[in-house]
Amino acid sequence: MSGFFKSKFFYIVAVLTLAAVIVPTVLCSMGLTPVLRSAVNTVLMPVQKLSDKAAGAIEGFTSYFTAFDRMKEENARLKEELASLREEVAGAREIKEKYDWMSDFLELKMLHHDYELVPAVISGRGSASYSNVFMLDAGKISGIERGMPVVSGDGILGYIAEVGPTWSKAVSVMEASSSVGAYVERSGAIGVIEAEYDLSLKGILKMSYLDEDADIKVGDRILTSGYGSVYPRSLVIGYVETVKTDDLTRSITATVRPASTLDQVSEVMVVTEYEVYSEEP
Amino acid sequence: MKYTRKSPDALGAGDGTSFPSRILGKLNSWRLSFSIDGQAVAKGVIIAVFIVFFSITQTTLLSRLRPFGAVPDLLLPLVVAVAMAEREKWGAIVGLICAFVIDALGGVTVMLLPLLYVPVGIFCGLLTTYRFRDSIPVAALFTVVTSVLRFFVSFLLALFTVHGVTPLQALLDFALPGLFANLIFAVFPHLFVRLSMRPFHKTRAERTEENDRVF
Repeated sequence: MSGFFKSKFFYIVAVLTLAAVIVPTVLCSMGLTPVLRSAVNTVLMPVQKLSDKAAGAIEGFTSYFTAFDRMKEENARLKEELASLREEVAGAREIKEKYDWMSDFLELKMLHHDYELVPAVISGRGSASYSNVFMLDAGKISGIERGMPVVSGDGILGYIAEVGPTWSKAVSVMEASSSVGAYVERSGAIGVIEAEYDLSLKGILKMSYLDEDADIKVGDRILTSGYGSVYPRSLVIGYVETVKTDDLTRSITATVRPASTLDQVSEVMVVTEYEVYSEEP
Repeated sequence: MKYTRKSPDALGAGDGTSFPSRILGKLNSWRLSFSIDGQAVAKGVIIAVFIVFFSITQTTLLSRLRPFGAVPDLLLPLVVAVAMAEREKWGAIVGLICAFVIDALGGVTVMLLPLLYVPVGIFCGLLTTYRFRDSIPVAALFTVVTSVLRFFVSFLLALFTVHGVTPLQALLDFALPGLFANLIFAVFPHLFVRLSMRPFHKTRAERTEENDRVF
């Protein structure tokens, strides 16, 4: 058996293994994408995209069995809504989805004339439970670059972390290490949206660094402030669920339910250009 | 197993004048003892298809469904199965490729998986060659041991890459569900590899003889 560990084959494999660990890790931490890694993603992207569509259909089917209680409640509620929605739902679900997507796209474009938007489809998600990333089917060729925000018609989803020619990898706003400058739309109170591990399990974000006298209420809409390098101003982040004042420090923190989550969308937009917000005239 | 130099003819290198022959001759002179023939190419293609299939399934279907609350690792049992069927060299190469592909498709910034997959490929292959035989109980044993190793890697990666997670949360939310999911889903790569590699290990005459004996 020891002969194997003295063979050239073993030495070559050992060197390649170390290279496979060190090179991509160093390059990724520098914001660069290794060529081989990019090639793998480019080749497998179409297959992954198709597979994800199939997976979505299977997920819909299996969730009937796995989330039976929730489905039961939802079913009762849906029955009540069915009568009013019957006309709307009949027939053209696919056309309606496309229409919704286009109207979201247009709405965002009309609200923000300065935005250059690139549509993309989510083609895959993280390979492990602790991975909060998702793959998009558009990349450098479409004008996407590292650090660009990813949004849906409802709000922000994350930012681009890695880009290849025909693919890109985005990190979700629910990633615990990310933070977003934000303000309350109604009062203008400024704070920072952060993802905390405990809250992210419930799909909730935390708004902190609010002033002692900040005017914030349950139901308030939270928008991006434009401070920082990733997100433009006035994109929807979510809605305030709870507001809490610390008895000792008098500081206010709020929990925010994101307006848009990865579970709800399959098509997204990447903001490739926007006017950077500045308070100076 | 001795790693001795074989003649180019033994590796199908012909007279050593054509380009493929020169390549094979060169590989042989490196003492890699890794012959490339029609059967090896067929096996390579089949295993490549499995790598693509399982990596895509893992990053699309299973990352959505999250059975047992985790995304099962299908490529690690694939490496084990290939290493058992084709021994240590295939195990090492497939381990390296699998780690690279799954990191590229949906990995985090820190890439540790090659350090797990390649040794797993090598040791499962070596142990199947020298200590155990290629059987279902041994496959089950290797799967349990490698899943436990994956459990520790998941625990460490969750602890160091998920901001704000406590060791207990990393254990209960990521590592343990991952362990159960890995153990349950490991059966599929083993099944696929066993069924597809079987024809390569016996001649048609041997299989026919065996079938005649059974029926």
